[in-house]
Amino acid sequence: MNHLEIVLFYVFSLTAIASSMIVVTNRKPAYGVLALALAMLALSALFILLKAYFVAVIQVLIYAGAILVLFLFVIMLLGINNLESSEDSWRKAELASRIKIRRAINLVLVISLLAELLIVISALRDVGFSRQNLAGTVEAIGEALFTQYLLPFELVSGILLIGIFGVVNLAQKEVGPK
Amino acid sequence: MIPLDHYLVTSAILFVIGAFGVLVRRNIILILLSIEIMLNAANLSFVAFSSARGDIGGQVISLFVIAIAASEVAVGLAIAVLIFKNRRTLDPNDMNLMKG
Repeated sequence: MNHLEIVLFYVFSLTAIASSMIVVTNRKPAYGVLALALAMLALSALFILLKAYFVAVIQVLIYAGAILVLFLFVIMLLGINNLESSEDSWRKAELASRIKIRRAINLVLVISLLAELLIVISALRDVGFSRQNLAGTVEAIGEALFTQYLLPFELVSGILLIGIFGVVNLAQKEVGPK
Repeated sequence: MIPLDHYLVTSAILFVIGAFGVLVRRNIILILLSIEIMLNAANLSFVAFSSARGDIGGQVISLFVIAIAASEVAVGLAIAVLIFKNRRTLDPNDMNLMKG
């Protein structure tokens, strides 16, 4: 049982990391979206390992079901699947070396960020958490959501409403290519 | 039981991958995808801490994060569509004018 859990953890976390790498390194946005869907599914499996059942279900429904489908619709609507590779050639030749330098600088920055995070995590090791058996079922989460977190819950509904207004307003604008 | 650190290290690696994507990609849609990776890394940290401390609050907050991510993606993609209609490009380096 214990070994199985460890194996499952490594399988799913490595899947999540590998498919996120595909998202970041791939040139075509449609493949990136599909790889991100795989990462979301792996993450929801990790949530199930953490006994956060409701969050796992919501992760699959909202992320894989709604958000990524929205991405796919936009990509296919615009037909921009290989936009990044179809840039002007003169610009590409001029920028190639600068882009390489910028990418190296960004890599150094990001690796130092990772080192910093790992230092923080290794300091956390000594804190010693009490691992209780907490199951994130619908019942437990609903009770917390409607008592302790009622105000943030209502505020989130306000944010969703504002998002709807914003999208409708943006979608009604009449624009054309210049 | 898997120690908390393992989840936190996974979350840190995912966050860093997303940050790298935001920095190097030159397509708004891929940048939004990388932001999604970062939000999910934060979610994994929240849920891992929630499970380790026996407090349901982390899971509730990760639900809030998912809701915020949904509205952020809707608005961001609408803006991306408008920019693409206006300029025929999705490269953030070309977006140097506020007035389109």
